[in-house]
This record gives sequence, C-alpha cells and structure tokens, in this order.
Amino acid sequence: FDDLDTFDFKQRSEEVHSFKQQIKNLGPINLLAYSEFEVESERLEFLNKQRSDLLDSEKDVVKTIEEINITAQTLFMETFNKIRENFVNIFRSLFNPGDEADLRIEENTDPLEAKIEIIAKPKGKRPTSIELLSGGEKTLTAIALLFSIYLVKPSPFCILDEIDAPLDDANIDRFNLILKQFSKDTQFIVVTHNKRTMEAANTLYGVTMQEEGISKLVSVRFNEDLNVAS
Amino acid sequence: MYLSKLEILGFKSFAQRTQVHFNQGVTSIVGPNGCGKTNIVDAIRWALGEQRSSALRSDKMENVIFNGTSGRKPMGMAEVSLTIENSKGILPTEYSEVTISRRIFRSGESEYLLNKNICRLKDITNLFMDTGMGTNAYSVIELKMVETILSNKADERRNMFEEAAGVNKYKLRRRLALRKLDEVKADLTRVNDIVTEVERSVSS
Repeated sequence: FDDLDTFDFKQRSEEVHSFKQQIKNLGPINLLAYSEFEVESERLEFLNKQRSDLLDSEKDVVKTIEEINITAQTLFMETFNKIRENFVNIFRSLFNPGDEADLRIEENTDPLEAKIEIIAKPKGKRPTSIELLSGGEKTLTAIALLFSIYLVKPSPFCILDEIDAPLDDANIDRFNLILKQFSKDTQFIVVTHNKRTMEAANTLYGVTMQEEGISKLVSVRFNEDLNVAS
Repeated sequence: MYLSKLEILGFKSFAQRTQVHFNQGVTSIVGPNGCGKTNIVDAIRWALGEQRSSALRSDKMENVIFNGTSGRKPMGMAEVSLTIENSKGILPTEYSEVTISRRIFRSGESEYLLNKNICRLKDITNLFMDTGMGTNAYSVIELKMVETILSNKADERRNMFEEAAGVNKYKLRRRLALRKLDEVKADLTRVNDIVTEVERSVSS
C-alpha cells in the first residue's frame, strides 16, 4: 500500500464504525423498496387523475343544476304570469265589475320555492287574502283560478265533477256564463246537482239505480239541433 | 277533437253494457247521490290510462271490476272504450275516429286496445302526449281541487302551478343531479383519503 504512512487507522475505523451505525439505524432493509416506490407513485398518479376527473364532474353537475334552475324558473314565471293574466280577466267576468283579484308571488326568493298568494278585492272592501272571503266567493275565486290554469294548458275536453256545489244561485249563473263562453272551444262534461247548471247543458244524462247496486243511464236531450249535427 | 262515445261494461257500478254519447258543448250528468255519476268520470280517466287506483277511489286496480250485488254475480272483467272524434287531426294518427279501450281481468292482467288492436299503455300515453289530455292535465276538475287551491298549505297551491308550468320534470332532474353530486363528493373523499395514504408511503 502506498498510503500506508498516511493512513490513519484510527480515523478509518471510526468512519467504518459510524457507517455501520448508520446502516443499523436504517433498520431492516427492504430490497423491494424501489419497485414498491414505483408501484405506489404510479398509483398516486392514477388517483390524482381520478380526483381531477371527479372535480371536473362535480363542476359539471353544479353547472347542470344551475341550468336546470334557470330553465325551470323562467318556465315557472312565464306560466305564472300567463295564469295571472287569465285569472284577472276571468275573475272580472265572474264577479261584479269593480271586484278585483290578483296573484302574488313572494319576492326575492327562488320562484320554485316561493309562496303564492291569492289576493281578492271585492268592490268597496280592502284587498284581503282569499281565506277571509265567504265560502261561495272562495269557491268562485278558486274556480276562476282553475279555469285560468286550465287555459294555459287547454285540453279538448274538460270534466267538472260537482264543483258548483257551494255556489248560490247568482254565482251559479255567473259560472254557467263562463261555461257557455268556454264551450265554444272545449267540450264540457259536467256532473252536477244544480238545476241551473242543468239548464245550461246541451245534453243531459240521468244516472239512476233501478236495480240495487247497478247504475242505469237515461238520456234526455234539450237541443235537437245539436243532436242532428252529431 | 272531442269525446264522442263512452262504452262501459263491468266497470264499478255499471254491470250492463252502457253507452254514453257526448256532444260538443256542455253535457250534464245528473242523478241522486250514490248512483254512479262520478263512476262515469272515473271510467273516462281509467280509459285514458290512469294508473293510480287512489285517483279512482279504489284501493286495488282489480276493484274497479263490478263486484256483484245481492241479485247479481260479480264479473270477471271490466272494459271501458272511449271514442274520440279526431276529424281535425289533433291526435297524431290517420284515423278520423280513435277508439281506445282498456280491459282488466280479475287475475290482474290488463289490456289496452287502440282501434281494436292490442297495444301498450305507452302507445296510448304517446298518443295523448302534448294534446293536454294526459292523466296529469287539467281535463278533470273536481271539488277536491277547489279545496286544494283554498287550502292554507302553500305547498299544495304551488304544486298546481308547478304542474301547469311543467317544471316537475326539471325538479326531478335537479334531484337526480343533486344525488349525483353527493355521490361524486363521497367518491372524492375516498380518493382523497387514499391519496394521503399513498403520498405518505411514497415520500418515506
């Protein structure tokens, strides 16, 4: 050895010792560590990609929800305004001139969650909520509203099942007037007990039970012209 | 377009074959209480494809079949046929008269017929779609609906407006989207957990 003179045996042995100590400190050595590291980092990459996918789809879904909200809200408000317009008109023709009614929607909230209020203002009285009207007035107001909803989504026929029951004679006449007005475009089938409504009909059917439990139909026709036409 | 004829056989209180001819304009159905006036209304709804037995005031669909009286045996089948005048071609079909029939047997089987040919319920629903005659339309107005409008519960009142506006399908879609969002969030938390785990083993 050339460097035998300069070799500091003591120092080297200390160095070896400290290296040994360091190896010892590392603990048991996993020879597969490197390949494991590779597998894990691959996994990490995959997971990160998945996470960004998920974040993207979260954004997408939030956007879709917003779009749905906007479409539904505009649709709802459009329909609401149409119904309101019809309601004001029909109400005027049902009640006395001077009586007014309106629909109000709670402001500054999501129209899809907001409350809808029916405001009626009989002539001379202050505008009140529908709950404070008399029974007949209430029913007539509700019928006006039903018709105004119906007008937004008209169907070729309409069946009315005893909705005129709580109305008095004067209101029945108004109800019939509306019925007559609408019957130009829509066929009405009215189930009723009221004689005045029966008078307004073109065709009348009676249902009886001659034999217990078995319905029988008897037809009476008022309007012979219509009969020929059909 | 209007309803021209209704034929009922074995439906609720109508044991015998009964025909009702409707005219354009106003047709009135009258009679004492409990004689089956509203059963005519139910028959029309049923023929149009009503699926909720509660809307027909019956607990099971099979209960719409004539159930017998002291003098008569119950029947095994109910059939309602509804003829619609389609001269203006509002219904998307080439026939000027459309007859839809619905039958139900005691066994629970039911059949739909379109101009006497067997078809699916879907064919009938499709036929009426966008004509405002479907089961969700306001073609039938009852006193119950008047009460709904008058009810203090604002929710029920809203429902009527929502149905008219047709926003229900959007609400359904929104609910589905929200559920998807929840799922995505749950997945995200799981992935985040795994990521921290893996990150730790990578950095050591």
